[in-house]
Amino acid sequence: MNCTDLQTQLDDYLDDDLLVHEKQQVEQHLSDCAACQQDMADAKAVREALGSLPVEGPSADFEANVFAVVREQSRQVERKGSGHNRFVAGFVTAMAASLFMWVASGIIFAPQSTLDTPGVISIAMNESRPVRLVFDAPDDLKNVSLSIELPANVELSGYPGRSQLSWKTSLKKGQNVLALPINAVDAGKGELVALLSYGDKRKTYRVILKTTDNGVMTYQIQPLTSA
Amino acid sequence: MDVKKLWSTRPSEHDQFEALIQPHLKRLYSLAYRFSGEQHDAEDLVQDVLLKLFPRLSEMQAVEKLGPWLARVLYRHFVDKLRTKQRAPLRLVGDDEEQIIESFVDERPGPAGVEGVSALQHQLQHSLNQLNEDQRLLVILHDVEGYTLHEIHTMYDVSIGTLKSRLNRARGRLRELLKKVEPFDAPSRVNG
Repeated sequence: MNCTDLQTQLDDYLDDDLLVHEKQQVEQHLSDCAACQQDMADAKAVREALGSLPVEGPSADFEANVFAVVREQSRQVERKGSGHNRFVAGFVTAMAASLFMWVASGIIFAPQSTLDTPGVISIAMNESRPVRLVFDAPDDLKNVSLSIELPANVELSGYPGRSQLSWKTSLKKGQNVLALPINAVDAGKGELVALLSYGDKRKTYRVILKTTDNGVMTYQIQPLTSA
Repeated sequence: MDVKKLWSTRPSEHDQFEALIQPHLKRLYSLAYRFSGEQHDAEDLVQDVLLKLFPRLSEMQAVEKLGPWLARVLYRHFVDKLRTKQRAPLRLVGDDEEQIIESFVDERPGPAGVEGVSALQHQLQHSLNQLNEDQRLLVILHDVEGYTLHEIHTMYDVSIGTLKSRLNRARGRLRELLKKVEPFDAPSRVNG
């Protein structure tokens, strides 16, 4: 190996990319050549300096700010793009009382249904089917009280004979899904009431459940009332 | 049955986006800083990229190696911005795209203003800025920011062998440039 050969293998040597015999040839040459020793040492120093080139860190609130900007701008885009839809939604809410958005005290509860077919689910008597309610919280919320009142024609699976259940819970930022395994036990029509309390705020929403002898249960979400 | 088990959480799109990006944010900023050479510009660059990416959340969720993918998006955005800047109406010479990129030399001092920068690092930054854009990018990605050749391969769809030889050429060029600013002055020269 001569000095020119070494120059072509210098980086591979530092990357440990040479075969054993190639590596030995490089080392053999280095042991006899002071100039190449110096080149190798300089190349190694450059590598080390490159790997430790300092970065002026971002400003202290960069992470929080950058995500806040993304949130804000995407919401602006959404608002611009959904003006018509929001009008339609409002119209439908007023006329049909079937869709609503509830905003109060910094908490947004937007019940949604993930039922098989919008507006109607089929359920055989004594068969449990999930009714999912979605609560969209803008922040983590602790000590939220939730009460569920059930009409006589349905039960909550696992709680036979109970018409009312209450418990304390926490909501995480984002969409929190409450999956109620509802069991139709009788033909008829009734109202499921969900009452959510957080601090001095109380919000209620209602779902009308109809069950029939042929096993078809329908639901309708009622406008919210607030206390 | 425990009623508390009836709850599950479905994170919002913003939450999902932030959870995806957050582990890569520091590295993304660092890369932006290497490209732009200044804190404020680096922050702007990252912010622009994140704004572009938010609507592509579902696409991002399907990306297997998000780090290199983000680095590629960042780099392309940087180059786009650079081209736009270079195409300003008062530009007098070099309207050819390739020439613009090839001739790009950042004259700003870069991290030289950061405390603790050695003389060699200062010279390095100056020499890095004189590499052509491809060479500079490769050295920054691999030797400065530590992306592997395999990761860079996923960014640019260039074979690893080609990347390796380009990288070695870039390193050689960098050493030549350093010799011109030379010498590695006494305190920073390493005696082998």
